[in-house]
Amino acid sequence: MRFLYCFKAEWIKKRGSLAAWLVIIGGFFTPAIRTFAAIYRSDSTRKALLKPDFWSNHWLASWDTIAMFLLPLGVILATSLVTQIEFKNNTWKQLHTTPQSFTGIFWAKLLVILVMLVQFLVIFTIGTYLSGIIPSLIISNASWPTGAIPYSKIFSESVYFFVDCLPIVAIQFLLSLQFKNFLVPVGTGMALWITSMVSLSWKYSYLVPFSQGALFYLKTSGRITRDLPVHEVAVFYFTVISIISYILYITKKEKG
Amino acid sequence: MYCIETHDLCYQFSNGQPVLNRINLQVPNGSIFGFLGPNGAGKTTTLRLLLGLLKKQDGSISIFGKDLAKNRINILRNTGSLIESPSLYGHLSAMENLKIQQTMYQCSPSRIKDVLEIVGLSHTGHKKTGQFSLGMKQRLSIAIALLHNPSLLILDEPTNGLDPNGIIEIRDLLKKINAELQITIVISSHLLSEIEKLVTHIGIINKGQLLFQGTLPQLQTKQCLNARFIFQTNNNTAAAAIITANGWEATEQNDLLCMPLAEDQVIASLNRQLVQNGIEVYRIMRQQNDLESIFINLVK
Repeated sequence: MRFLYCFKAEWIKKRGSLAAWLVIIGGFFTPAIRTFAAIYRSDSTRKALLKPDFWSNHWLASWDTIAMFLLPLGVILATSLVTQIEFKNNTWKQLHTTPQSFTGIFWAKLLVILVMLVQFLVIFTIGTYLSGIIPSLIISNASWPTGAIPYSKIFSESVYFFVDCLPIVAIQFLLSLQFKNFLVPVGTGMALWITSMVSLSWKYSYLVPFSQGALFYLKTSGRITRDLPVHEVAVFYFTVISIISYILYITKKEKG
Repeated sequence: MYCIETHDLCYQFSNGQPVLNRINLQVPNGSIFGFLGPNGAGKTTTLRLLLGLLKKQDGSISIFGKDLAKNRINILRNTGSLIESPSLYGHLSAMENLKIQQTMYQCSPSRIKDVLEIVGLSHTGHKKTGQFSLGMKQRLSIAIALLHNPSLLILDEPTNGLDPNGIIEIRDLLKKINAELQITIVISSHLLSEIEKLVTHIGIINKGQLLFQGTLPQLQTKQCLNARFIFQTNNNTAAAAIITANGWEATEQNDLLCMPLAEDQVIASLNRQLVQNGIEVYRIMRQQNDLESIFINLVK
């Protein structure tokens, strides 16, 4: 029960913060761009809406920029922003003098970030659906997309993208808890993301942290044919790094 | 019965530099304990150790009769604190900041309104605390510390940055909550004048050592014991001989001559004798041995 109170308190803290806005704006960003593009290219949109696999194609195309670029960068920023709220406001000492266990505080903070990631995926999915139907309502003579919505594909791929983001969350969370300077976690995150992008064609690229989401997208879109254990590696990194992060946090000599 | 008791509390930085040396603090229940010392004396370190923000290295800390190391969460449930500068979420309103604490402490939501009224911040509405003045931030921090009706308040320099009116307001507020709610208050400051009108007990710390601990009257007794007359003359050696010949102890300190307190007639007689012996007397004064000077003497 105490953990729930701790989580609720952490959830209030992110209200109105830049990270909270990032989730909403980030989730609707690509769908909004795709909506405008679809309206602008009305001829090709009319044809696409008639195809039976419209929703599958639309879903995959929507993930194009998200998987490789916006999602990792968004997770880097949002995780660092949420975690750094305490440093930014000089509130660690206040938080650590509340009747909460350090363990509860640590996992509640991490859980808030994970729920925000789920929130992003839900918003993005809703946005993607809207970006499919809005052009059909606006473009003259365009038909309503008649193809079946691949619910199970959307759900399973969303879960996989969530899992593949976990190493980014764990690394950014660890760095943001340890370093007061916001530039350290963000700079390190950017460097790791660039490294993962550069190494995508490498045989063992799936071992590079931050590469898992991009590799999964490349596999889903058929640009990579070999089987890679990206989700397993992501879960492994997340587990190990979270445990290290937890140990570093609870053994910190100065708690504010 | 002591609300806070430390036994041989020691602390040193990672480079080996000692910060606290065998601190035996005893804060009585229901008291307002002024914890005094110059900047860097070890006040904040002591308070941070009491709140579990620093890992204890040596000695023991007992609060409400319980060992802090074993009962941290239970103790914190009944403790409110303000350490150094205010700790507030700048992107949230006063109400939202209090809501966070209310959720953590699981106290009644009606307390939010109560404490905002106590500190005079009911009118702030949706204004973000990042836009508050320092005085408003300090008051909100005190509201946070009071929110869960604690039995103990630990306040580290809570009037820092406040204007004289703000200082008086906070002082009155603390007196009121101590009297009405019997809350024990530990308040640190580097200015005795700032808290001498507020506290019932005083602890004076300097260079990591507790130099005095006791009630305000005990400190005032110390003040009387140290009171003396000071003479400034053109020949202190000759003047000292005359004073000693009259049966008083006289000591030379720098360019001054000191003697114990005596009646006015005695001083007048001594003055007459000094002048009759050709000694020029420039000044005779009773040393202003107020609490401030005792404090300064103690921490010298």
